[in-house]
Amino acid sequence: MIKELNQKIQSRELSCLDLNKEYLAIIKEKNESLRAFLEVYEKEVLAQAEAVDKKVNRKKKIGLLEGIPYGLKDNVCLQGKRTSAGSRMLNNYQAVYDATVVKKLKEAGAIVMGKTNMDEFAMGSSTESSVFGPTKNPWDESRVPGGSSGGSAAAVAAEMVPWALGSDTGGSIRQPAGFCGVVGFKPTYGRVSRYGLIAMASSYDQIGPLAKTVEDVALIYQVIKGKDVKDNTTIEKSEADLEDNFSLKGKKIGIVKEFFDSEGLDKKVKTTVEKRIEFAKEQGVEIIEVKLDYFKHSLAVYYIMMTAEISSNLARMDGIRFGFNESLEKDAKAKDILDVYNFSREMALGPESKRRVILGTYVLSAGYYDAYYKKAQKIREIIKQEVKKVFEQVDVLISPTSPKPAFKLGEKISDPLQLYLEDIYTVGANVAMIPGISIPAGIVSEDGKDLPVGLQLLGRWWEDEKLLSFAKALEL
Amino acid sequence: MTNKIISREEVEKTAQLARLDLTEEEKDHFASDLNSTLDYFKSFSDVDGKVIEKVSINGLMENQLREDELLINNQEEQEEEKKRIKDSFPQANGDYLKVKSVL
Repeated sequence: MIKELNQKIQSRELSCLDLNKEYLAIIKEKNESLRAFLEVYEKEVLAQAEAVDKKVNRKKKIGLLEGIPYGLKDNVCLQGKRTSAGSRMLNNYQAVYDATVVKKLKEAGAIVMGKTNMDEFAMGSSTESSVFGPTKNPWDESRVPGGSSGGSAAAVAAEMVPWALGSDTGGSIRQPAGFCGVVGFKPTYGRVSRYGLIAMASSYDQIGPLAKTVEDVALIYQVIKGKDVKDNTTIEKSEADLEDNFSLKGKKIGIVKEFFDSEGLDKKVKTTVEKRIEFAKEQGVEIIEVKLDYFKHSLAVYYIMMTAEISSNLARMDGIRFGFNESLEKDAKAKDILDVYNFSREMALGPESKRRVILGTYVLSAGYYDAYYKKAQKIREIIKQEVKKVFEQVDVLISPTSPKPAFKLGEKISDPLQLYLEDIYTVGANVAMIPGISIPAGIVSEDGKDLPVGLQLLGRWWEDEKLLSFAKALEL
Repeated sequence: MTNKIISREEVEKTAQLARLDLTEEEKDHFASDLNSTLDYFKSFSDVDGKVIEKVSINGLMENQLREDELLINNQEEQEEEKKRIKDSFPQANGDYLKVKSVL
């Protein structure tokens, strides 16, 4: 799709200005009810689009992403623009610099359409914890779009933009992509710089693209990946390019039996994914049942380490250097600096953030550290070992992205544990630091409405392009 | 009914450590939420975590060192960035960040 748009702009079949105006019109029509975008930079978008048209008119060649608008999740810094991370804490915060991914995309000529809605500080699987109100699923507005990159997924699904950036700490790109029927890709940990991403859980966070096709996602990935001195978890590591003549024949795909036997897995979701596995078999793929004994502990490992890292990362949200400061509010109560910390955080952090900060502080506190955090770290290593072994047998792993299709707004808001279980298939990739992608697998009917089902593929460390080749071959 | 792992008092104490002033209602809520989550964590208490070697994954988790030096060498850029950071201070006094009394 991006390639086609690029060709149309380059050949002047479609002006870049008209293209962007079309998207802006769709946003105007749909955003009030969907709330996928928190802010849209209409003026800047149109000015940049005109500049691209001028360049084309001068017969200059433009880059693949040049002039193509995208949605930016609101936890990624865009200099001079509000970067709220969906929180009251940063409601008045303007980013003081560009994130590395934003800088790279600016250099590639991509246009930021606006900031997309998200769960507060990326904590959630439904976008309902955003202080700005929930985003709705374009397929059925009584349902959630997933999260935390729910605004990005909904914006792409509703065709408000051809693609968007999200972040994935435990499934926050893949799960909403599945719920909204789009493609969402989380690269290997260390592939994409997180400089300028508001940190949630630093040993899990990864930035990645959401788009309509695997090809688009691959294009964007090419632009944003690479070593960045400002994020020392990134490294330079070459990989084979997306194969043009990639064939599934003779390839080995693993399935984890427990994933498909799980009680929580919706029957229709199961059947839909199994159909795609049948399709893979028809293409000559060998399906191998693999055993992952420790993988099932991923969710517990994740929730312990993630909350621990959150309690540390969110410590900077104290109203002192930036963000919400209670002592400047009307009827302020704070008398000293400790009050400012306590009251600012009490007033400006939402319930989910507080819950996780407390849990994280608890698992790190003396007396509990060994039983929780240290143990979780150890099991994370065991899981990595196990995953390494499995990938000696198979090329990729296949599973549903989520146990059920998109759930209703408000359905899980009062039961955090139920909401956490949403991540059951996706967190493993973040725990093991491997790449994962969700692609549409089919459509099921729920209360008379069509809802998309996502299929997840997980690949080996650093073999992102190979994973993308598999995803492309299994695309509907 | 899940076992009580964390008491309301512990929630209170932990919140204090986390610099969070909670309402009475929140304390009740969080105590119950955290108990169900901590109960779920028990699922791996029987996992033997003794045999641990760090997994070597080509390139992942290796130390990367660099000199501690300024990345922006241009004076003007430095000043601009400084100004932007100062502009986001909730309270400032000239070049200084202003805070409420510490003691």
